[in-house]
Amino acid sequence: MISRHKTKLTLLAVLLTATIGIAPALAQTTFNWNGEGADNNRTTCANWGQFIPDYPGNGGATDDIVIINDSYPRPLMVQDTAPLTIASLFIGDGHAIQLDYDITVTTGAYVTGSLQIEGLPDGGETGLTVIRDETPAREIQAQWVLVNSDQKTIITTDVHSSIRTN
Amino acid sequence: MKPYAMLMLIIAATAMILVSGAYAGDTFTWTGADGGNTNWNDADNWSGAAGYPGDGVGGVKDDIAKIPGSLADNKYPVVFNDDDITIKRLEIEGKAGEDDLVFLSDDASHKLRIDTHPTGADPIAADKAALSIGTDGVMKLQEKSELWFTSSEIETFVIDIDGTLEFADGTGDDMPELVIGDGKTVTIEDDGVLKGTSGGRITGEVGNPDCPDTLVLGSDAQMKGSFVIDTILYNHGYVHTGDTTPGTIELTCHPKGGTGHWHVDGGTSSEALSRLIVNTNVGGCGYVEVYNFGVLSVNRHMSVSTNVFREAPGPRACGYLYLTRGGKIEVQKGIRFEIDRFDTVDCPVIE
Repeated sequence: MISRHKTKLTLLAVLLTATIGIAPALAQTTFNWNGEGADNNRTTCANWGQFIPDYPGNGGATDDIVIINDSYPRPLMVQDTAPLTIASLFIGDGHAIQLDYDITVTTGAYVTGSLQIEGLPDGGETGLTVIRDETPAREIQAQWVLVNSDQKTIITTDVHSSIRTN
Repeated sequence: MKPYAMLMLIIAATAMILVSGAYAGDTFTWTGADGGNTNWNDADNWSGAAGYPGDGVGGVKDDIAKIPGSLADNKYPVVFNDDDITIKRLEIEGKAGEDDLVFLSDDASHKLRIDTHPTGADPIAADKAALSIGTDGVMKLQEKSELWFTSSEIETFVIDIDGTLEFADGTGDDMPELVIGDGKTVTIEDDGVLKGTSGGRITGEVGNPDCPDTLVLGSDAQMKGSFVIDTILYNHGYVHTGDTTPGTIELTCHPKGGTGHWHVDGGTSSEALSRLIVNTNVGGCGYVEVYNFGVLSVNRHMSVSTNVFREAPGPRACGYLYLTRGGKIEVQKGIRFEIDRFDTVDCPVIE
């Protein structure tokens, strides 16, 4: 006969095992750009200020939440290495993104995959939000796009870049 | 009353009824036979009846005007400095490379009024458009001219365009106008083009009380160039700011919607931008595309939904944004601009 104490231990072990098993599927990291690295690259950990050094998409992650809303000291983020897939992207006032590679914002459900933009691009009226001045063309693709800001918002694309929904 | 007087009264009344019922206007066909001019109001330029379409003979304005596309000498009519003309229907066959009807106006705005209604032996048939312009046909509206669609008996006018209705000349207060009668709907059918070369205004007659005036752009119809649209607009086709030159389209006053597409295209340089200016709420489920040297200015809410149709993905299957190659979107503060955000629910599914 199993004692009540052993039963509790068994249930606890099952619960822990289940939690560990589920945890990778629920992992979703929120990254906030602070631009305090030595360059403007997405893959520079110091630009994101995580407690454990990290960057969006690291290790093949595809469901990170990315918030670019701190324009000092680096208003420009360079999407520098390999196509990036994330769950959502927010671009705040005074920013620019240089697309060396594509960004895809999607998780397969319509409530996510959001690209939200607000404010003026880096440089104001004459600035660019999305920069790509050479071929091949690059793009930010999202499931939906939203602008709803308490300030005027301007979105511009360079000659070899685009923003589109899928 | 004496029996004789009673008989005369009955005869007179019967005669009046017969006359009014039998008269259904005249059908005129343009010949351009007068060697001296191509004026609409020159009877020598028309066959089929005495006078000219819209001359008001008989006190009625039920005439039908036909402009054939086979005139050997290319002498097509010009509406010029006449009193306002009201006819029942205008049919333009069209000839490649020709302006098949040019509507000029002088200092005062003149109206070419199409007043569609059933008369006698000519009831309104489903296949009869108030205005038809055949393949290669061009009807050109010059500055200050006004093309009206009004009726006391029908609610919806059909304009069947295979060719082009061109708003050719005039800007600001002088731009030509398409005027929709108070509370009426004008539907553009077929695959023709409303072309705003210099600028055209789509507006409505203001009544008391004022009723909504509506323009419906059919699924294959296009507006291209520069327009100010202040009526309700159901765009099921294509709205382009550009044709061969940059254009500006202002959506204002009454709301706009539909399943069609909004293209900000045709810009050629930073000094020659194309613009789509949203000054009224816009909803729908088509494509929003902003191309090189194109600017989409969003000053009122704009929301384009997805999956309104549950067919296979492809053109018109859902809302779509494409901002590319130097295109620009400006959204004013406090304004909501969203593309493809909301999946619609409970649409019928094709089995």
